[in-house]
Amino acid sequence: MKHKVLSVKEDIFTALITLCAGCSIGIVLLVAAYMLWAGLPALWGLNSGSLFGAEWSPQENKYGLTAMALASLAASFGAVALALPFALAAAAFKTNMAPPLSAAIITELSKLMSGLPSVVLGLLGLTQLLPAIAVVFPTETAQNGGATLLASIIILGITVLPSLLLALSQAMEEIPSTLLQASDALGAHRTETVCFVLIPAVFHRMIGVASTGIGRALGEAMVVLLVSGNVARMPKLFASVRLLASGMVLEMGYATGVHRQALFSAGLLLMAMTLFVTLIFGSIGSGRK
Amino acid sequence: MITVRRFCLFLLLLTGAFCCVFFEGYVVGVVVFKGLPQFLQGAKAWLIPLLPLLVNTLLLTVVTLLLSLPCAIGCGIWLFWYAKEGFLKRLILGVLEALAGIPSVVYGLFGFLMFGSLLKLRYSLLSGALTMAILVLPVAVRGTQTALQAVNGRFIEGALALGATPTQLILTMLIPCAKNGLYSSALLCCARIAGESAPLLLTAGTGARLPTGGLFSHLFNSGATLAVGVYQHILEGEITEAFTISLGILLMVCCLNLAIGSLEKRK
Repeated sequence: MKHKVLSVKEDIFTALITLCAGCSIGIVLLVAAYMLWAGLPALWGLNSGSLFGAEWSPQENKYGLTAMALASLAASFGAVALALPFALAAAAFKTNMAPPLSAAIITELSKLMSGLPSVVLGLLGLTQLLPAIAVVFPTETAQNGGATLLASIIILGITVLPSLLLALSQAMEEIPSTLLQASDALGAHRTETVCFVLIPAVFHRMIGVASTGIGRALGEAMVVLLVSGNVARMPKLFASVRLLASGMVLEMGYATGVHRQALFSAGLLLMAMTLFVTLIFGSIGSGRK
Repeated sequence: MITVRRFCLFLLLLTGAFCCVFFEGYVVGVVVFKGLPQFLQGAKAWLIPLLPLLVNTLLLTVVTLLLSLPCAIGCGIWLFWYAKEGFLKRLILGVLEALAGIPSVVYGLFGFLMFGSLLKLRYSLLSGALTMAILVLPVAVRGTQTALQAVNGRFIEGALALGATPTQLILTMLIPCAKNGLYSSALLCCARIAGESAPLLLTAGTGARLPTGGLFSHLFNSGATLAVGVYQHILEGEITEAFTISLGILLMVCCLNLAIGSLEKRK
């Protein structure tokens, strides 16, 4: 009798857990399917000009995404290229050379900063960085007051810096210490060990970390919304640009009909770019162990 | 022996590290210095802009966690214990991984159409909470899995050897042992919710009033969280208020980090 009761309870519990799992996976698939269903029609159903054009101007029924996509790519690759050397040096310094106190300061500061919402960084960019850029490059930024691709790159670089630093130092801590000890035993100085043994050893992990950073930078909307100037055109370093993610936030509230479909296609494109970068570079990174 | 080469390498690393600390310290420093004067002026100067947003944020966080955590913990347990190794499990893990990397603004777009337009919730905290629940789902599932995997395998073997059924094993062994890990995964979700602004701007809107008729009915009002509030104040040109709220966020993130840190130490 007791066994019977137990097994009913067992079945109910198993069913409950499976239901939870089914729900989670179902929701996830629903999101993916819905995004495709809502965004794909615009890809072939858009009667006015193709999405692959360069010009984005909803008033004139022009929905070209190329300029924004290129600006997004330029800004996020630029940002990671800018931040990665600093993050690498700081992570190497932190894990192998820093006294415990300064290592702890670097870690805590990075954790604190990676928890800050990106819009706070946007606020800082707006109040501190844009005036600074306008002062340093007065002639180039005469028309836009500093709101340029350059500003987006710098502010995105600062946004991804802490997460790059934390991921890289985790990668460095996972390097077997025998490797470093062998190098030390051969007479290498600590700095040489770090630069010529440790950094090459984390190289493949670095590609993975960088791709995650690029994915994150591609998706940042609020930071760039505030500093990029939001003019949809081909990216130039000292011109105002608009990125895919911030364009969506800016126009979704009032868009209708074809315009809304085009924004959805922009979302789809952003999703595809992010997935492409993280999956392809991620597999390169994890493949070469 | 210190050679020129070694010294240059050291200088290079030190400069990189110093620049990192400088940039990060600068960001935190500016937020503190610009926000602190309002906090020192007395309670009125910072409570008025901060309080409605804080209420919204807490309400949204609680509802989001109530919606997503049971699902995510169930899914994590299923993946850990019930799912068989093979194609399906790998596929599910891969999809979750991919979803964790999708830009949050895309979720905002989804929530805007699905909950805002289709389910007629318009701009409301409930719509925001539903969107955020989907957004944090992959994070929470991953966190649950990590917490469960950290449980000592011998405990599980011991429980099984004593004749525990899967239900008993999970309820009396796995979940109590993984308790701290589960808490810290929930806190990570909180941190994620506190840090998001773009999807909430599209779904929960920008209302900044205190709840008048009870918390439940407030769920159907438009409500800005702290991060959205910063954006809203920037748009209106009120930079001082924006910095006040930023400092509030900074303090909140500080508390969350401390809590996560102490949980990790206790493990």
